[in-house]
Amino acid sequence: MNGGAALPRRFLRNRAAALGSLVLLAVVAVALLADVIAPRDPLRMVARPELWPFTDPRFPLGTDALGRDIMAIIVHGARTAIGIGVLAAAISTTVGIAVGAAAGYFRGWIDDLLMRFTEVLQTIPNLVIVLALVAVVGPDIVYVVLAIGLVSWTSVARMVRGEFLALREREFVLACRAAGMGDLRIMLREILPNALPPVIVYASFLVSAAILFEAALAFLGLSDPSIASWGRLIGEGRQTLRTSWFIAAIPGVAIVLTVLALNLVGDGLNDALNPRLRDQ
Amino acid sequence: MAEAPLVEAAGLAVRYGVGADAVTAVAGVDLAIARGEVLGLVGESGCGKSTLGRAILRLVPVHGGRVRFDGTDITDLPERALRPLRPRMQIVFQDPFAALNPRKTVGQAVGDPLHAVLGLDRTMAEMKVAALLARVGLLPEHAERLPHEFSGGQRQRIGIARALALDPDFIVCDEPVSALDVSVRAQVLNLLADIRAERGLAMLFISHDLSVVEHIADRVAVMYLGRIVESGPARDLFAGPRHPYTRALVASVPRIGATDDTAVPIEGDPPSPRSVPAGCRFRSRCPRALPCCAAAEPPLAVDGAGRLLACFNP
Ligand SMILES: Nc1ncnc2c1ncn2[C@@H]1O[C@H](COP(=O)(O)OP(=O)(O)O)[C@@H](O)[C@H]1O
Ligand SMILES: [Mg+2]
Repeated sequence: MNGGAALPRRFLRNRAAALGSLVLLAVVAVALLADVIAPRDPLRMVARPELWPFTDPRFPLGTDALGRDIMAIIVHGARTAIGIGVLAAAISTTVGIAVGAAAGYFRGWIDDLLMRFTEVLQTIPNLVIVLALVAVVGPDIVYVVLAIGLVSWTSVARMVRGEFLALREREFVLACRAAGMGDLRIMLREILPNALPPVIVYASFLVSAAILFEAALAFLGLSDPSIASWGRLIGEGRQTLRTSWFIAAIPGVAIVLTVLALNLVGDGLNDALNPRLRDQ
Repeated sequence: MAEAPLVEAAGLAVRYGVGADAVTAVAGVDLAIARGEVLGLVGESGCGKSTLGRAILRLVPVHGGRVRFDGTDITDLPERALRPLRPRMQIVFQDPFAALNPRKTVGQAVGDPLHAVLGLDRTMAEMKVAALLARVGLLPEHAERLPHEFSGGQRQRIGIARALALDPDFIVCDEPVSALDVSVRAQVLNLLADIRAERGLAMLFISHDLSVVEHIADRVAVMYLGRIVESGPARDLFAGPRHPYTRALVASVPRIGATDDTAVPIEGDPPSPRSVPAGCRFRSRCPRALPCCAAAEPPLAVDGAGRLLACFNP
């Protein structure tokens, strides 16, 4: 039941998912081409402050309260958002898969220990943990990514554990055990590929959650100040909300569009993958 | 039986779940299978046949009793120590759809154990896969395909090829044709019988269908609610069943059995393994039950005709 070509077709037939992918592709392209689109340091003052959009063709989106090019901040902020989102989601997916796979496959005390730890972690609000971590180790972008990644794996772990618990009893897995294959090989080659579809769906939500997380940190002034960030621009735009509301509004639109696109893609993936999962 | 049996179970017990939810699926089973011998295991669905077969292969945890394979007690062997023995005992499953990984090609399903376990290189493994597929009646190019491209009967052939790949001495065939269309059952059964003869394989051949077992088994064991109630040579057992349960089973397939006017067909479903009757576990459905049947569980013992039988009033 693997019908390789059917999946993308089913995914793209879903209009919302197709639109989401289009927006997402655009954001990723902008992120990748940031240095071409806006070659100069986006955090440098380039013009008079609070220049309104569409008034100066050199700064199509205007300037912020410090006279920095908003267009450049948005473009480089896309790189920050996508980079942080993808890396943090990769970290939480990897940790979640490792924890969930070990718990579901080995069961017994390994399962008890890992799931107890997961539950404890889940009861503390993620933002509290991340704020504490960043407060201790400093607002370096590497730590921000690590902190976001390391708080978001618990749901992945529970999801993967459930899949492993069910799949480990399936006959094709028993056949591999009966053949004398090693546990690691069975986990990685036999069970994991079958456990992955829901994780892939969830990963797209993790990316958007991580983007919102970084934005929240930056809004609070707790993310890396040396990097262009949508959240930081919103936070700084607060001060001039009455006179120049566009400074906060433009990055706000960027975040909403990106997160919305990611969620549409996730929903589309879910719909495309799930009927098959259920009818197996 | 002069030679030591290849497979031996003594007092084997398997429980699922814990506490009040616990189900004793196998409740103390003794059996022995000689090299090259096919033991048929029959009984109604849910009586513990699959569990027994899997417990013998150490695929489900064993809670009591012993399992020996070729003289080695494997009951408590750690997985690592068991691994070298595993290739010698294989299994063919009932459900040909669940038996194959939907994301692996047939070549991988059959060939992976060859290099992962036996250490064959790719070319050797591919050659062996081609030979195995040919043996079970498939084509070499089928190795490139995914399981969903095959019918149930073809998948079962793939499962048989996979079980044969490691050159086992013993195969548990867990209702290998029950899920197949009637039209292909005979072909798959004949394939198993031929392979068994070629290779001198020992088998535990599980089925709820006596006419299937009759085809292939040398000896037959009848299971009821987790225990063996009767066992003996296939021909004798079908010609003259002694346990009331066996008699009812045989009488329900008139083609096999001698006409047995005294056999009463049993009705209804067996009691749940959660609430096994005290004394003889067949008592609640038995037409010949006596007061003494409630007092104690009849042991499986050799009767006058050289048959193993667990009944106070055969
Ligand atoms: N994984 C399991 N967990 C709990 N109970 C099980 C499990 N597998 C089987 N059982 C129960 O054990 C009993 C025997 O099942 P099984 O060995 O599959 O019987 P059979 O193969 O003869 O149909 C049944 O009551 C069944 O419900
Ligand atoms: Mg069964």
